Amino acid sequence: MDSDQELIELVNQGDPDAFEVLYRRYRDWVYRLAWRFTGNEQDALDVLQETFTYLLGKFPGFSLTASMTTFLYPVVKHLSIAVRSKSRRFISDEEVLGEIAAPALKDAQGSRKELAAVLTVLPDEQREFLLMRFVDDMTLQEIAKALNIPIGTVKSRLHHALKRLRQDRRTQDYFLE
Amino acid sequence: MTEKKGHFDEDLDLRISPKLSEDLNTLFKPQFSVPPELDRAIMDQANRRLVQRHWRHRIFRHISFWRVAAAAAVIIFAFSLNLTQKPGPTTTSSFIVEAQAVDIDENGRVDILDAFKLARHVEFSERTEKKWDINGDGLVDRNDVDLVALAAVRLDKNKGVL
Amino acid sequence: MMKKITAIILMSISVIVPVLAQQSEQDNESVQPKVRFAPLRIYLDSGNKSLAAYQFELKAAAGQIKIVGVEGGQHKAFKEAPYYDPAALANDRIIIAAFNTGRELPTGRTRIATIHLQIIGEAEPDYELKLTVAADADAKEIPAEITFEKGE
Repeated sequence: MDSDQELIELVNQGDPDAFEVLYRRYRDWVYRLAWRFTGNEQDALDVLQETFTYLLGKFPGFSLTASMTTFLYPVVKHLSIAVRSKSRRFISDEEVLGEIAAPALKDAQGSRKELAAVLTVLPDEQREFLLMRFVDDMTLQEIAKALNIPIGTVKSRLHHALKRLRQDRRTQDYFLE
Repeated sequence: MTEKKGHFDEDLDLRISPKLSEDLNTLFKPQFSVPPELDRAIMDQANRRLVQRHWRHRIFRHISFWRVAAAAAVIIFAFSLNLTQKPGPTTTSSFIVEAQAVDIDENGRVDILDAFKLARHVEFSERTEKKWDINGDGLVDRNDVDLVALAAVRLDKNKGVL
Repeated sequence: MMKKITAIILMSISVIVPVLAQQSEQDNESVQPKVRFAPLRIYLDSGNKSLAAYQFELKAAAGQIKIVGVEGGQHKAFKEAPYYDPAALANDRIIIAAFNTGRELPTGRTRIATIHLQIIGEAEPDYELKLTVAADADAKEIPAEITFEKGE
């Protein structure tokens, strides 16, 4: 299987099949991340398309010097903010980011609603690491690489996020043996 | 426990119950998959952009750094063998020979103009000099040009030009 | 007497060490740097002369950066990724260069490269950008002005 670097080289030379391999490899990852940031399917699909349009615009002449997820993560995040901001003209980027990182409370039921509420008040980084680990199915190493931070930092953030869930009366039942 | 990645989690307090995993996924995974029409639209866009673009067949098209690095590694290895066998003044003279080889315009410094001038020689002139065969493959071509360019952008010039 | 002193010392250690460890963890937690990404667009203005080759050096004068991507420029003569030393990726300093032997070359102000940076910490980085050389199609050095723009 070709590495991302090899595929990028081929796309730089004009190979659309190589681009398709890249697209298939990262499509679902981008879509899930975009859905989480935007909170609805249509916006997520828009972000998905804009992300790969953005990537396509880099060729020829693109040289990847870190992992693909490292490169795509901020692209998806910024495009998601932009999509959300379109309908919220006077809201700041920080406020939008705070909102889009939270789950859709209105759709949650029962214990999930409680879980959603607790997650909303977690610090952004702790929540994001939790979701990258247990929803995006990324290993601790992949998270560390995607964000280019030490694995110890990832473990620390995850530890604190789970500790909060464990200590909150609304979610502590998840941790009963 | 999320078994899929369980073997990576050595710390017990970084694992979660199946119920918590299920609820997180229900809250955060999209219910609908990407429609095939969107896949087709993106691939059509890629086809239009990539296939119809006029790719110039430059002689000095940028080679992957891995191939250049591999060629440089071979040369470094070859020179290191030479250095091992002939210590002292020969070490210094080998370094000087390397530096002189990539200083194409012989102005005492190695920069992109050396690569540019070599490229112009190869592309427009029939005149080439044996000393410009940087990688020692018997040809003076874009591979040599790329090695000169690599020498120009090397951060630590003292480690050896190549 | 010695036993008493030893016991007091041991008890003190057993109290102090966990407190220091917790403090250390909290300190460590509180100083974990913020990470963000931003592109830096590099422009060269060669006036009315055609630009055929350039080389510049970028260095972080303040703040902490890591280079995660390098892109070519705006004009098709410099669209492909430029030359750079991969070892620079572990540094806050990079030398970037490119040339084109063709006839269609940019003049005036043109974007020659975009460098994607990971910025670590709160401090806004400051950059030192130095043009080493710019040349025309005849490989003659020409005066040029190099500038950068920070992207979002």
